[in-house]
Amino acid sequence: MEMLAGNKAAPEADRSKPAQRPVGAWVAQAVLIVLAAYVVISARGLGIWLPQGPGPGFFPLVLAVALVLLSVAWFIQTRRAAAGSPAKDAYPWRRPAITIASLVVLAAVLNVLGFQASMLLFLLFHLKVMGRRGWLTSVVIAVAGSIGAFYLFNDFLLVPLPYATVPPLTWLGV
Amino acid sequence: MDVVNELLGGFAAALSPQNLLFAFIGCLVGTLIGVLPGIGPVAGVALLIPLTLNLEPTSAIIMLAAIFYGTAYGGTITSVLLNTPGEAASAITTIDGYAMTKKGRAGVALTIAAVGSFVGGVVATIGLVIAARPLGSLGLKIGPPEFFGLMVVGISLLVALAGKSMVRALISGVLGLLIAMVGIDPVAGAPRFTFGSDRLLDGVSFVAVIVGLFGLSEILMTATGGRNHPLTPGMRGLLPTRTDLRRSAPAILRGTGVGFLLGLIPGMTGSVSSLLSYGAERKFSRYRDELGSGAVEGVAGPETANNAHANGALIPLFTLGIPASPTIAVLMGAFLQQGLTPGPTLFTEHSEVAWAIIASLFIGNVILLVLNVPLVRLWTAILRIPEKILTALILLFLVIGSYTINYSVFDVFVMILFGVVGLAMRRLDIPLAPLVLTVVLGPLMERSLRESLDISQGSFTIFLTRPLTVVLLVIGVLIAASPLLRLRKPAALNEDPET
Repeated sequence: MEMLAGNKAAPEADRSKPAQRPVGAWVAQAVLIVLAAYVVISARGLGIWLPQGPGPGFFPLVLAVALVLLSVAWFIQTRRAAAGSPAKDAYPWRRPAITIASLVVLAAVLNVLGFQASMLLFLLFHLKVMGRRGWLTSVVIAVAGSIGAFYLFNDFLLVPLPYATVPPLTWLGV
Repeated sequence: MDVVNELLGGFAAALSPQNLLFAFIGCLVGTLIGVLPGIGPVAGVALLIPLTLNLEPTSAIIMLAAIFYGTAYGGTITSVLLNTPGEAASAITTIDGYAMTKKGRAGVALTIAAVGSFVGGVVATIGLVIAARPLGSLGLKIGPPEFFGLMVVGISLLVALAGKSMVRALISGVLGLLIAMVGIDPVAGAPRFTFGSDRLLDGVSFVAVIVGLFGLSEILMTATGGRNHPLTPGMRGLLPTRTDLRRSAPAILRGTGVGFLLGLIPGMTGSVSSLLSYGAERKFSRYRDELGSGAVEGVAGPETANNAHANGALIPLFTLGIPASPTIAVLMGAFLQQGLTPGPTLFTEHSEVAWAIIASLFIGNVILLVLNVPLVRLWTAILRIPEKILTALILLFLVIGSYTINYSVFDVFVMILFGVVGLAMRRLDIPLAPLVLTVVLGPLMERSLRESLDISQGSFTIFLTRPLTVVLLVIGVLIAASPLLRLRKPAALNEDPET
């Protein structure tokens, strides 16, 4: 999970950086080293060498050591490259962040509201709010993409998608 | 005669109504994916893997392979009509393809590209048929140590996919191997890095990882920019004139040669083939002065090369189990999910499946030729759909695709997580291709290493006493060490947008 936190931080770090400070890369290097440390600790618990050869922890240990060495090499490279290189444009992080947040919410409610209701709301949000489409276009596409897709996958392709599990929606059978 | 008989058997299987239908759907979906901006061949093939899990292996692979080479043609359509390559291998086609569109000759450009792709694809597939038998007979000599050697060769190729920075390419490769470690370990049965969750005992779903890394992160990257709108295609006749055909023929021949030969070399991407083919036209074409202002050779050469490459690159996969590019690594993942291990053993253990798939490559190339020219109007209509609507619909498919892997929301979260990781990697110029390669090959390499050591009771000398293993390991080490030898890569490789 620490990867998620670290990588989310990277684009935001870019936003506030003054010229020529590769903060995003530094955050990424720190995250990689923390990840490697976690792998080393777990690998020791798994058993690194068994009588019949390498144990379950052997490969992870080798990879973690490699990851540390590579991160350090990258850090040295970024320090050299940072001197004299022009700053990148600020990254417009708002839209991707909203998209990610909307996906997390969608995934969280998928089993509660069911595919049809949650996807309907998700598509409406992306078409009407994010895409600034007209109501008619938004509703038609959202209904086709949620209820239409549900019947296409559930009944025609025989790929079951989740139903709602909370009362008002379960009565509707969606 | 044997090969002919087996190929005929393959045709009989591939021409069954069911398999023909799946090849057709694959070509259609592949072209659509190639046309759509924001979703490339890697994510496209990965997205459809869950839908094929319930199919029998032959049909599933036929469909996914058709998607794979269908995307190459779809990319051409946007290059010609929009001046925007739908995927990297068609980038060079924009120069003369779009110039032809402005002259009202879009129909001719697309037809010539389809004909060239057909010729290149068929020639490359004939090459696969010829190579299959001798390389396939190696299958009987392959034990775990040799298989380990093959996997070492495969993984060493990430050096070739490195792009700008070797350090960052290796970080990407190591991350892929670490992701592959999650789950029950293949020998001792110990759960690794599962965070105590039962869901991770089978490992992280590689489909969710790829869909997030390539599909979602692409959407997140492009969520900010706009794009061109298609010119009304000049459809004054789809059929090329006799002059067009006469001028294209040598370009198609050169393109076939360049694409097929480079396709055989793992680590070369389709973009390199099309770039070099354009270079060949600039050097050898009789009409080289017209290149850049809508010369038909500038479409015929690169498009032929790109499709000959796509089909030729299947040869190392089928015969050695080495995926030459990220898309083929995903295709290899699909084989593995179906319980088929591509490589020399495929022809000994599942020979009917292998030959049916090879036969379907011929059929798929015919379908693409017949399908694409009449449907050009449909594809241009799709390109007129506003970007925001396409984004919403692609997000819809990313969610459905990742949910249906195991019918679980967990994989949707994995997809989102790797979308964020992919976005960070793209922002930091860490190439994604090495990660795909190692996610697919890592588990196979570890299993074969530990099986080998089981045979030798822990002694590493097993890798030094078997000649074939030694040869493979030496090749792998040489490839891995090649950057140290300061062999200069061709400039085209450094600018390769696919790495």
